[in-house]
Amino acid sequence: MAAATEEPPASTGSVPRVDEAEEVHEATEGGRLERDDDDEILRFMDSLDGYLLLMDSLSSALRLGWLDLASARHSMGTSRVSSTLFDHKEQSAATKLQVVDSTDIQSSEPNPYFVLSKWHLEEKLSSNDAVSAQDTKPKLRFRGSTTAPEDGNHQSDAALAESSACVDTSSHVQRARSKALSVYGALVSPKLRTAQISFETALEVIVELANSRSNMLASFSQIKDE
Amino acid sequence: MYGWEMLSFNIHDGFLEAIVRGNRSGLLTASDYNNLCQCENLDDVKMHLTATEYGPYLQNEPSPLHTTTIVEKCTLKLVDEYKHMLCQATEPLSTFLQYITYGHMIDNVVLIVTGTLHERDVNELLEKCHPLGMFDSIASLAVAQNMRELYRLVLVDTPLAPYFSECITSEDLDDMNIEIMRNTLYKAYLEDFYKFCQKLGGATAEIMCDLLSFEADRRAVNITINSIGTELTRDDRRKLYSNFGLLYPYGHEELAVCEDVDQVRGAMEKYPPYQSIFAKISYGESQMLDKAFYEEEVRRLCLSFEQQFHYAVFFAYIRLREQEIRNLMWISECVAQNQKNRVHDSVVFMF
Repeated sequence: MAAATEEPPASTGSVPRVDEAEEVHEATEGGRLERDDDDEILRFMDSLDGYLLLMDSLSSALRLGWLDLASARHSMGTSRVSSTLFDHKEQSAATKLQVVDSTDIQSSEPNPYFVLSKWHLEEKLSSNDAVSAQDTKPKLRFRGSTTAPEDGNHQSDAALAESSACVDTSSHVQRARSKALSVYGALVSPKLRTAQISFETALEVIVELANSRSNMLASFSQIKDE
Repeated sequence: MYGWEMLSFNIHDGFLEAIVRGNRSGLLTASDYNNLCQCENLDDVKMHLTATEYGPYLQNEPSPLHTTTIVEKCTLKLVDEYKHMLCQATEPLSTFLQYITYGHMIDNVVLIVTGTLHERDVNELLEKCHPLGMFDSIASLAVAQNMRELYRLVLVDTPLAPYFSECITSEDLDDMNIEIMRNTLYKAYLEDFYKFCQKLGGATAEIMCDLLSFEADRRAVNITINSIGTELTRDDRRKLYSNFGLLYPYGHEELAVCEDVDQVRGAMEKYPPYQSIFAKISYGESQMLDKAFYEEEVRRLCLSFEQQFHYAVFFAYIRLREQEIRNLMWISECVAQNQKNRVHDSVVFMF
């Protein structure tokens, strides 16, 4: 009897606890969802701010580039800096843009993503990799001083190889830039080179802008869905 | 007066000297430039220029105007004035006036050859040539494959023929060879013009030799700065410098080995006339060097009008008009790009 009488008080005591637990759970879930919404909105606002900063940066780079081009035309003469001298021969593109679509299986990015490859650098780096792969083959051991540690030699060799690769890449870029400017002649004004750098910077910013816009649109669509 | 020019100059050349001095008074003044610098768009620039001597050349141009149109029409005015003077000139003034245009002829030859190398249409290239440098067989330049053919087929019958002796090779034309050809031709032209002026003697020789020496020195500096970081070797660079001028020969030896703008400054500051030019620009900077050189050139050209009975006024007038056209080009670009705060970077005032 006591046990029978004891059970109902136990059952009446557990129902409010379950309701409370459910309410707490719902409140927690609601709070988490709200925090997620806030996070998403903050992410969107951050990406919008970044986008506007990039637009400003692009505008400055383009203004500087166009003024430097006008300055070069003023210095070298209008006949030496004009679109009439552009090369119409077939030539491969020095700079490429890779579009990684979100539908691509191998892509780790959820949104369309753009990658800029300037001045044949990808081909240059892959050719360097091929050379360095060949370099990993076993070489003749140096029969010099026995006190010199092999590890130190390997590290200094790696550092030297890295620095020489950097120098090689920068000289390659310099040569590619000079080749692009050679349509205007072999001896061009420094202002034309400055204009080239400005437009190069503008191109990089445009690609950053595209990626930023892609992220921004993704955030916006997520907020809209919620 | 050096050669008693006062007695005989006006017989043959007095009328044209009066013409050129009248034309000189039509050059734009500082107030004209101030008005132009405050324009909001290119139509405003056109409106202000219509009130000057450029009016008849620009008034019928439709809107929207482009900066290249303004430059073309202003150049047409210069060409008309030049042709008016040339057709009335007698020897030796007519030869002197023709010498002034050989620089443009060289630029046109290089433009046609470069454009042909880039597979551009010849008619398109001919439209871009400077009108003062045109000659009859210029369109035939497009068929030449190397400098020997260039000379044999076309240039042998032009005034540039004597200048080709130093650069005739059978090498195919490429960007570097064309650039070397341009500068070699210009070097030969300047030296020839210098000798011609020396032969004329008197005030013409004194003033023109000073102006041409400055031109040769400025070209040496520009060649040095533009060749920094390129494949042009020191020997090739030295060969492009003219064999006269204040910098010849010791300044050229120093310039030939310069690897940056500061070394160029170090070589030039040893010469007092150029010390003042380089004093205007800061270390490591080369942007304002062009303006500094243009200002010095304009100062010397304006001074040539202070003396009478010599031919240098004709040279000075043509160069001052070209500087004026450069000023108008720069002002138009700044107005079109909405960068009026930079307009005084390259405008050189005259008189």
